[in-house]
Amino acid sequence: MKNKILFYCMMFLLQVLVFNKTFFFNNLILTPIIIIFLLWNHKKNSLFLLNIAFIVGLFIDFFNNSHGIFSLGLTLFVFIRNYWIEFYFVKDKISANVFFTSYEIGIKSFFYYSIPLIVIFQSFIYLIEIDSITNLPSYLIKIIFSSFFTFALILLLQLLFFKSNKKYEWR
Amino acid sequence: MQLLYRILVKNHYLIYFLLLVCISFFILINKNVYFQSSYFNSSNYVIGNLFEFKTSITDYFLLKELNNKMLIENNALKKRLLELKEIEKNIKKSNFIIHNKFDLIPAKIINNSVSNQNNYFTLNKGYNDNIRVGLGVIGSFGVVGKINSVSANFSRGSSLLNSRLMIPALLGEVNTICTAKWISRDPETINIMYIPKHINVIIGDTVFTSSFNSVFPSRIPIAVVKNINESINSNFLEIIANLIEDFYSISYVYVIKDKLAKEKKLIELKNEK
Repeated sequence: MKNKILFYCMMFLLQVLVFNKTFFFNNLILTPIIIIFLLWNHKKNSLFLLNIAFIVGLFIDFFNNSHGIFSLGLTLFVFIRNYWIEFYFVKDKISANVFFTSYEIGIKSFFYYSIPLIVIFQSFIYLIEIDSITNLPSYLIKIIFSSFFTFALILLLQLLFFKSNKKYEWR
Repeated sequence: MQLLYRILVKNHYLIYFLLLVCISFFILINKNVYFQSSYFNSSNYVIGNLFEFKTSITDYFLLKELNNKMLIENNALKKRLLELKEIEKNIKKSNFIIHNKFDLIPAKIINNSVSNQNNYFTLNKGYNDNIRVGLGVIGSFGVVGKINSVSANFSRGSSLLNSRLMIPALLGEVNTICTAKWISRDPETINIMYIPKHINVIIGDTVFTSSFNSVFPSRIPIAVVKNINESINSNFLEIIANLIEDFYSISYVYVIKDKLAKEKKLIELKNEK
């Protein structure tokens, strides 16, 4: 548990101090902070997780001067995830102890589980600031690339910080 | 009440989520300048459309009142139309004479000066277009000047803003004979000379051309009286009038040719002999 808290704090600092200040290829915003809420074990209609998402978002907004975008985005992310997990996973597979890492559920399953959520979150972050519909194609390209790189980064972070006895396989 | 409580308990997750969304939106709109302006623009758009919709409904119910107003206005306009038709008839009669006596040659001013003591203008038409020395030039509103020299395709004339040009004129409705001459060096005004002191001149009276020479048709406006002074050393009033034509922006003019000018000159010469 202590390790998890340490990891979450590290992710928060990484997001606030590094990824919020760095625009990859001059355009892309990577948001590894969502790894916290992607991996969090599932409890149906958890107000606790909703609160955590909101507060973490508020802190990021505070450091980032984004004034509510992250708090709104992360709250929305957790809200959608709540229903997405139940929709995507077979019911008996979900238990309160399952930590949704790629080790636990398999890379293929993790890919299908996380990509829609990441795309939704990235779409929200980009499209909330869109000023003209004519810029939509360039924003869509940004969303696709940001989502892809965020996914890769999340996968990399799991490989670095999580260990499992299970064989790491595509399932 | 129990039903409401049940609904609240059943949907507590959604309600709490909406509450957090509201708080986030509140922060977003209050703190973020971009969203603040977007929000107010959108709300202005919505409110504007609502007001437009409301107005269209109230307008529909006010149609009867509007109809009555338009009926009254229509009546007044019809009366005015009849009056104007009468006036038009009279004008047509007088125009017939003017059209028979005068030819109008449209031309464009291609060069014009206003700041010298003697100002001139150049027209894009000359001898080939029947323009001759001594013909009068008028604009859309009033007198512009007189042609001085003519080449095959161009002509040059003295504008009213030329101290050497004197225009025989008539003042006001009583047609007092006078002369308009530019002495003031102000491109917007002209001096009206030789009006005796006993004549009652009112500010706002119009100065027209007279029909004593064959340069201009009668009653073409020149200027409107602006200022009247009585000098002790003179028997005449010192009148300054605002020019009708704006010499700063004038571009299209008409050169006036009196078809009967030669005939008039001949008979006058005969009588002098």
